[in-house]
Amino acid sequence: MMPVRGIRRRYLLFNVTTGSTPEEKAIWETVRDSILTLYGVKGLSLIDPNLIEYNEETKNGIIRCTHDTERFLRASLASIVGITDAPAAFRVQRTSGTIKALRKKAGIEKPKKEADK
Amino acid sequence: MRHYVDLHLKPSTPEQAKEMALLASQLGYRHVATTKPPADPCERITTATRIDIDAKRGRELLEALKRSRRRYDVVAVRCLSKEVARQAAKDDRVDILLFPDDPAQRKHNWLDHHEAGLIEGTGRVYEVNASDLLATSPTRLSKVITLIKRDLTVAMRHDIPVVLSSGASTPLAMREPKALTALASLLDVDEDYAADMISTIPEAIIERNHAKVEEEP
Repeated sequence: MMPVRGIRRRYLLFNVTTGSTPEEKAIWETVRDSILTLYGVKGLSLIDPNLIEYNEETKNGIIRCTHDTERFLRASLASIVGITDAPAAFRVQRTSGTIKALRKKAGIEKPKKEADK
Repeated sequence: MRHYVDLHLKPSTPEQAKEMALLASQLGYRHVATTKPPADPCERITTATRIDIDAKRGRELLEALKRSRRRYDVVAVRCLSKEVARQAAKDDRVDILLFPDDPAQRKHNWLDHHEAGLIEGTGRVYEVNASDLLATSPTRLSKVITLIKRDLTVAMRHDIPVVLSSGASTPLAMREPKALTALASLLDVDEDYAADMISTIPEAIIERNHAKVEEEP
């Protein structure tokens, strides 16, 4: 029998439109704060977000959530209007059930650190 | 396949209108309605013209409707008083009723059962702007959500169609269709109906108005 994963995940590829160049930490804090504002601590725990990667040059990133809370994460990303005092917009471009498929669909290469492993 | 429609873009210049129409097409919209026509027509998306009438008195509204109905594809009335809301609810020239985004103004001015009774079955719609739901302060957001949910409860009880638009005045305030449907979750709207709010319902308004224009001699 095939082993069954305990928790199903969704991976979202997003792009940040902003005039500044925010760091990965600022992106994560903005997303986390947005979830906390809209859904509180319980929501944050249910969504269980994790910023997998963020490219400061292309301003693209991949964020993960639990399978049945994708809508909540999308709402949290959509409601962000600024990062560190600069106006910004998060727009989800693609979603997938596996990170491998998401990267393949979007034509993104594995970050070096991960590819070296 | 759904055709997504954003019925409320509020650019400040025709150049910005073009930029926003292009972005809307990249985000996956098929039709948009803008309060300023784009500088050049955009091939990938159809653009309708829209007017937001701000009136405080019924008479002001009637005069504005007389001047504007034939010049715009979509006519929306921002109901700044009960008198205007009642007038807009019973006037066939109105397509969309929207209420002020300021919670203080909205406190005494909402979609009540009387207005809803006048709108019921006419094809006029109630509009929610996603720009009202974009994060400002948590206190304000919670108030806005409460007020919109109160209106939605009345609208649903009277089978009044609801449209979800971006209400964006800059490209940064625009979001992809699925983001808008996700924001509707804040208003306890289920996913299927939220998708209708940005596709079939606004599309029906544009089609109906085009049909009316074609019928006219």
